[in-house]
Amino acid sequence: MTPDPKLRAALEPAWSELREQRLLGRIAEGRRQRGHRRRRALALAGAMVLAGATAAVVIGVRHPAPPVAGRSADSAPRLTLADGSEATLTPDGNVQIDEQTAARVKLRQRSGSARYVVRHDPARDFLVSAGDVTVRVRGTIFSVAMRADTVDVSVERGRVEVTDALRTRDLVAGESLSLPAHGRPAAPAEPPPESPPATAPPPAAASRARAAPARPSGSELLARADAARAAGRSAEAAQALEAFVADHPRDPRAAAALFTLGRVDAARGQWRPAADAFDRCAAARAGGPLADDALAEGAQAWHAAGVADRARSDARAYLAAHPAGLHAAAMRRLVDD
Amino acid sequence: MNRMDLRASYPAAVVSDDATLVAQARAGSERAFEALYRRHVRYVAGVTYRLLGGDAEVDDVLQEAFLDAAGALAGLREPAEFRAWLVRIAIRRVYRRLARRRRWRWLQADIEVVSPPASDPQTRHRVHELYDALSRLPAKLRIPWTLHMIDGETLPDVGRLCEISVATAKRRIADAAARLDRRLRDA
Repeated sequence: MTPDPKLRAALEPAWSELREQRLLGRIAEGRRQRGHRRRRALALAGAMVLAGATAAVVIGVRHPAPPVAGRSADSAPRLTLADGSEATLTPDGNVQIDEQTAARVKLRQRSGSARYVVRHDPARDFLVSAGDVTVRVRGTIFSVAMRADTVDVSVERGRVEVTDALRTRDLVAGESLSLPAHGRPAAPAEPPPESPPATAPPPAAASRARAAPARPSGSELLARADAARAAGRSAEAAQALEAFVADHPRDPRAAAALFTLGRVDAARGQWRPAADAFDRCAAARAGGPLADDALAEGAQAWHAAGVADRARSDARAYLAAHPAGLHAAAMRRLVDD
Repeated sequence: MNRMDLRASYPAAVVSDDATLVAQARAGSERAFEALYRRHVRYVAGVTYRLLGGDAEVDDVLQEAFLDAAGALAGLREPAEFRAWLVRIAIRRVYRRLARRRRWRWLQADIEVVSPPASDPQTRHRVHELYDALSRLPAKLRIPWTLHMIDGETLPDVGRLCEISVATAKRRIADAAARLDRRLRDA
């Protein structure tokens, strides 16, 4: 027998971005659980070896080990939720539970700093509000610090969505963001090396690149940017990324570096340089998946920089190419704004 | 945060080949593994869907296949052949599912046919008949036949995907075709 050649085309699963994302979450959770099981097995084996060694020492020497002094990490104030998620607080930290159901957990951080380890559950909304800032997560590790005027959010693992009075942004592992605690204009997390003029296209990037006295290799520059981002030195990270792009414009990693540069600049409130970096990334990766993200992020950055016309035109371009894309809802809001 | 996590924080879309992504994923890059997932999941979902004849178990099979792949990535000898390797892993999972289905059907004497939906009534009827007939075949015949006749895989590829020789693949496909012909003629 010979099936109709059209049969294969008729036999495709109903696939969607949402389904793809949910499945990815399940796989990530499965990998974590397998990792935990492996670590537990190793820990058990290690404990048995240690117990054997200890017994040998006790029997042989008959001198008990001196007690260990110091304060264990477990003595920090800790809030444990029903689903196993935890918040570890600094001494001045104050977090209250506003809501805790299977579908939604809502915490209100009133002061101090807290590090959240959230169990992955795609069916449950997990929200932390601090002042006017709200952080929405699925499963991740992140910290929220309430300062006098700002709320600082930094992500160790996974991805969170941070919303303040003006807009919503995604933060991924290694990124941090400083936002006004109560709706005032955002203050950069650290002062930029030089401020771009209000109207001209951003020259900050190029001047940052020129500031580097020597030219290390591309990999060294990226490693330097990574280290600076991890340490929260975003100006230094931006400088290294810009130097990389200036020195290695044809390197296949250049577009990714531009995208990261846009994220770094956006995180510290440098919206015009951020928009410029996303534009350059979109141009470098025209037609690729990163170009779509760069176009959407660029539209958000232009909007935040106050260049509404440019934001709308980028948003329209995104919607024309991807009417059902991941950023479509946000882009429609920009067009309607 | 360790060094590897930081490197992983770069968007993976610039990496153009599977071999590079596999090398990064082996080194611990979650981002590279996610890029491999996004690159291949739809394709593997399509193959799995057609082999199983329905959507109900596709996500479970994909989850198991990607977890198996993550655990066995270090042993992948040809990183550039990641997709074929992943499909082989998914097919192993499909074998188990189809075998379990047949055992349950035998135990329960319940002939519930799992067949994919189709949009127009004529195709829907043909698809239902086909998958009804396929459900009577053992997995070792059903899977090579489906890969060859529906997915359009060549005989050598069917052999590689099912981890059998070309001669065995050819024999099984012919055996399956003969059985299907008989059953569809009688239907």
